[in-house]
Amino acid sequence: MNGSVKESSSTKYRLIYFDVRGRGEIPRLLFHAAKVDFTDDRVDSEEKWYNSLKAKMPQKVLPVLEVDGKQLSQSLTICRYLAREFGLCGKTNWEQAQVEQVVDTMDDLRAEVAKWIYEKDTVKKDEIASNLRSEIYPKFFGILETILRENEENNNRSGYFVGDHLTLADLSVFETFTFPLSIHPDIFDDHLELQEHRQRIMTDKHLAEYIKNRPERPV
Amino acid sequence: MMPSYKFVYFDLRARGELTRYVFHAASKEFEDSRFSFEEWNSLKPTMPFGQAPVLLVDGKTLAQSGAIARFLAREFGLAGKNSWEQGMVDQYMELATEMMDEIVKWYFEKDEEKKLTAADLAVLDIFDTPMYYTPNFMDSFPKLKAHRERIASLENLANYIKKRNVTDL
Repeated sequence: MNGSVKESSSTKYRLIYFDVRGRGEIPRLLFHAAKVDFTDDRVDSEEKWYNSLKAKMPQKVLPVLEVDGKQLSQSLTICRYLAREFGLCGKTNWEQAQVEQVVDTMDDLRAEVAKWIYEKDTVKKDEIASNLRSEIYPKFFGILETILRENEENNNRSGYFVGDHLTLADLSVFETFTFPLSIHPDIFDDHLELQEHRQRIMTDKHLAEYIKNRPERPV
Repeated sequence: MMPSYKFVYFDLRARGELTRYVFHAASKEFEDSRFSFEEWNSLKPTMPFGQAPVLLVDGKTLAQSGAIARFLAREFGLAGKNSWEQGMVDQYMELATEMMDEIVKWYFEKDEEKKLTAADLAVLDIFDTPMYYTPNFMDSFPKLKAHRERIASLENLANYIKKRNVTDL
């Protein structure tokens, strides 16, 4: 399907999600980062979703991951499961917790940005955008830069969020800022380390091709 | 050598209780450090990310209630026997978190009409008949009486109550 299979694994993976990045993109990035084959099942018909697929999903929502036919719901659960399977979730229990700390933090940011996406009233939308810039982004920049610098200090100097190699934490930071940068392209201007981190992911040897060529979607 | 654990959170259940449950279920000792809303203002800048809860393990810090609970569950053997089981456990935790998020939203909702739930209407309803027969029935329950007056005066309900036929039951 996508890239060559890294290990001789007979596990059949299928990711079912809408044809957008949304809550499906980080799982997709995990598969590509690990060079593991999977079926990228993009549901692009609303009719098909509401009339036949939704009722069959365990929690009636997407994404759903199928692993040899067994189904798993909840996007973050799927991310963490795949990251553990592919060795992209830290080397110890503590490192795993640190990875999850970043991922959960990024999910908080996603929720804040979602408020802007779903707000229909243009005046309120502008207020939310203004608040994102003045309060929300700075808060998360502060947290992320603290983590990056602490990881640097622990003699890793890797430029990754946890340990000395790419983990789910890096993928979640990368992807969570994709949408904000599309509406506020200048937000990393004063945040060199975050710019460099983003570049590091975009040029990663396993991810570069996928990121460059993935379907362009608004969210 | 057992690590020393300190869990720092408000003196509420909210997003801290799951972690406390994990410690107790596993019979693991920890310092259950609770602070008040007033103390939070001076504590906040000292927290690694200005957030609570925070877990300290031999002095190293971890934030994010979900990450904390899952870390401890794994440490104490409460996270499922293998990675797939962990996933199974995890997906129900996420579902519970979604519900908690809704409860928290409800708790902080200031707009009365948005905050109203069927629970309020059910309470209004059950006292309609006793109040019909004994109008001072709720006088010794001032909070309940105030709740009743607040709900019954919401515009949509007040208009309906004014117009409906009065019946015994």
